Amino acid sequence: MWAYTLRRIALGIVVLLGLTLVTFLIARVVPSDPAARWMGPRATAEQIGAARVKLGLDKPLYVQYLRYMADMARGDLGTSIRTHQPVRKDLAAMLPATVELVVVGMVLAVLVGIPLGVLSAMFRDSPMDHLGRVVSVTSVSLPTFWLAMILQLVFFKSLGILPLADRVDSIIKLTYPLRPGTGFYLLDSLLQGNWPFFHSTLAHLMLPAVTLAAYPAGLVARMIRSSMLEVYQEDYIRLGRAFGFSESLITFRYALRNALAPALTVIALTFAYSLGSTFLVEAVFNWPGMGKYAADAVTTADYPAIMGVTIFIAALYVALNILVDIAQAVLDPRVQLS
Amino acid sequence: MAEPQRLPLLEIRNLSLEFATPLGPVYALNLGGLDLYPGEVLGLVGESGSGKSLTASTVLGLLPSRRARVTSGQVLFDGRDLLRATPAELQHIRGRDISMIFQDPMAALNPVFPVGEPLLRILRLHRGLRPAEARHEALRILDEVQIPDPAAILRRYPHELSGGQRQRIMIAMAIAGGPRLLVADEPTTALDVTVQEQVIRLLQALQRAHGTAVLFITHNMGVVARLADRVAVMYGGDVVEVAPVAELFSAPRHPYSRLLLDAIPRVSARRERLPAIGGEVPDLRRRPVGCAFAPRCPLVTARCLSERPSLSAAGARQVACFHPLAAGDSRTEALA
Ligand SMILES: Nc1ncnc2c1ncn2[C@@H]1O[C@H](COP(=O)(O)OP(=O)(O)O)[C@@H](O)[C@H]1O
Ligand SMILES: [Mg+2]
Repeated sequence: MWAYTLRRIALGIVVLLGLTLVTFLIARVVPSDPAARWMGPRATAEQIGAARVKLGLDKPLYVQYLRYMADMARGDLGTSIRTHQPVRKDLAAMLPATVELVVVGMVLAVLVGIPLGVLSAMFRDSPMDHLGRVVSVTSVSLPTFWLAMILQLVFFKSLGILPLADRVDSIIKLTYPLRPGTGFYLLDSLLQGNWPFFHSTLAHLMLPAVTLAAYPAGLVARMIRSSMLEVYQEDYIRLGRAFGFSESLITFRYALRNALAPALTVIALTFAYSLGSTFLVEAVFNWPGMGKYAADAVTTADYPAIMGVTIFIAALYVALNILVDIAQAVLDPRVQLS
Repeated sequence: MAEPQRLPLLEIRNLSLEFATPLGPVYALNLGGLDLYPGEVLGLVGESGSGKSLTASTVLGLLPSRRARVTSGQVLFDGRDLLRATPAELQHIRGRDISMIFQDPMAALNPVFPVGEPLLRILRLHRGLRPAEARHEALRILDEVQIPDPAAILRRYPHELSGGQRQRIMIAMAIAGGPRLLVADEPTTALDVTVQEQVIRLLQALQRAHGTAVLFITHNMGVVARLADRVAVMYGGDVVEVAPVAELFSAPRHPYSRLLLDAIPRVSARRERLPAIGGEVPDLRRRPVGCAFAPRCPLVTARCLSERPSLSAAGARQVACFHPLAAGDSRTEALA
């Protein structure tokens, strides 16, 4: 198991190396002059030339790439053309916001999707099942931006119970400031016992997290339902019935575990996919995360920032894949990790 | 050996079961009657598709699919109709009063749980044992079904065991609740020939030791001859003949039983599989009017096509036929 995991990590690093090359090339063939951007609109030709030397842009492309990789090996992701800050510092500042949003969204998706799918399957063709299926189909087919707008209209404009956007109330942020910590507001405010801040953060998380969770929750529910229905047909489930096990014991103790293993890959893929939709969600809810940072980086051809974001997300995908394989082996003893 | 004057443990009466299909209903079972007495081994034989497995699962109140529907009849266990029992009553009976050995232990054991899990569960559920007691009892039962190193086996997953060990685990589960009726649906068909013999011996020994009544479904006439007290022959969803095993073999009375027995030596003498006999299996999409076997029967008359013969007693034997064979009867020989 450990040997397998290490091998998978090594393979993941190779994949990431290939990815840096591709991203680097694509970011640099875009017709845009990073040196000119670096100096701003009123720079002279000499100043731009000096910046080009300073940024190493006068060197051949492969030298630039090797230098970039050498820096990365030391943990230096370069300097953002747009913010003039180290990319690593920018990412570290943005990352907790995004991770907090994604984690809450995914936990929500699993907590809603799995029970919905299980109950639909357990009470197949009952009103419960019909309702569950309508809910899951709807949540899968709603466009993200539309859902975000509707949620804002209902919960902010009409009911006035949830905030429109941002990560925390700006007045709370001034009156009950958070001491520096992990950057995860929920966690930090909880650890510091800062309840007004915690409460405000939670309220601000609601709408973006629900928006983010809708698609994966629906998909998970559908996956689990069909997977459960298949498992219910198996002899080993009929055996449970033949030996007088109750339906809920059969469902929750046995069938769910059988159904979870094959559904896991799809669930993980859905999560990876919804990582992409955080960009949109962050834009709509003015969430100060990586999505916004990446969007700004793309529009300004800020290639060190683009690369930093790309590598980070790719690393997340790779890690997710490894985790799924390991989880599958834990759930199903027949899966051999090799 | 059963004594007919005793009260039956299991009585199946006029059981009709059909499947809803896109092409209309399939009348899969149309079973006039079948009795099983305490402590007896009743062999249930018949061609593939004759409804043996359906009969077995209906006895447990388990229908094989959502499309299956019992349209009439009773399954009386100890005088209680299982078809009208509540889910809670059924849960109480299954695994405790009646248990089942599945045909394919690989398919019937959950691949993602150690094989000890369901066994311990049954002991706790039906015998009210606490975890430590259940474990102790599980080890004893595994020993009884002759599994070496029971403590280690409890933690094994199905794919880590041999076919014979898996079926022994199934048998252990089936006897764990101390049932009065054991339904075994072709318990050796999925096993290697050498293992089949061991499993049959084990079942025989357990049956004798516990005095459990067994409904033993099989293709294998040789096994029936060794294990069963009486044999019921099924055809087209109905029981056409019931007789003590020796009498059925020496003098079958239903033409179908006769053809079935006559056909054995012509196939492989070693495996003694039920062979196909002339004609076609009945079309279950039409509700049978007369005798289901009439279209294939060498002795068919007009009455057989219009009227259904019911299983009527003749001493210890029962046969559903208007023209039953007498001992030494040679009327079917031309076709056999
Ligand atoms: N799930 C099902 N759907 C439709 N028809 C079925 C199903 N299961 C069994 N049948 C019908 O019932 C008949 C008897 O099946 P079965 O009891 O399995 O036969 P046996 O065990 O004697 O080989 C089959 O020939 C088939 O027509
Ligand atoms: Mg069968």
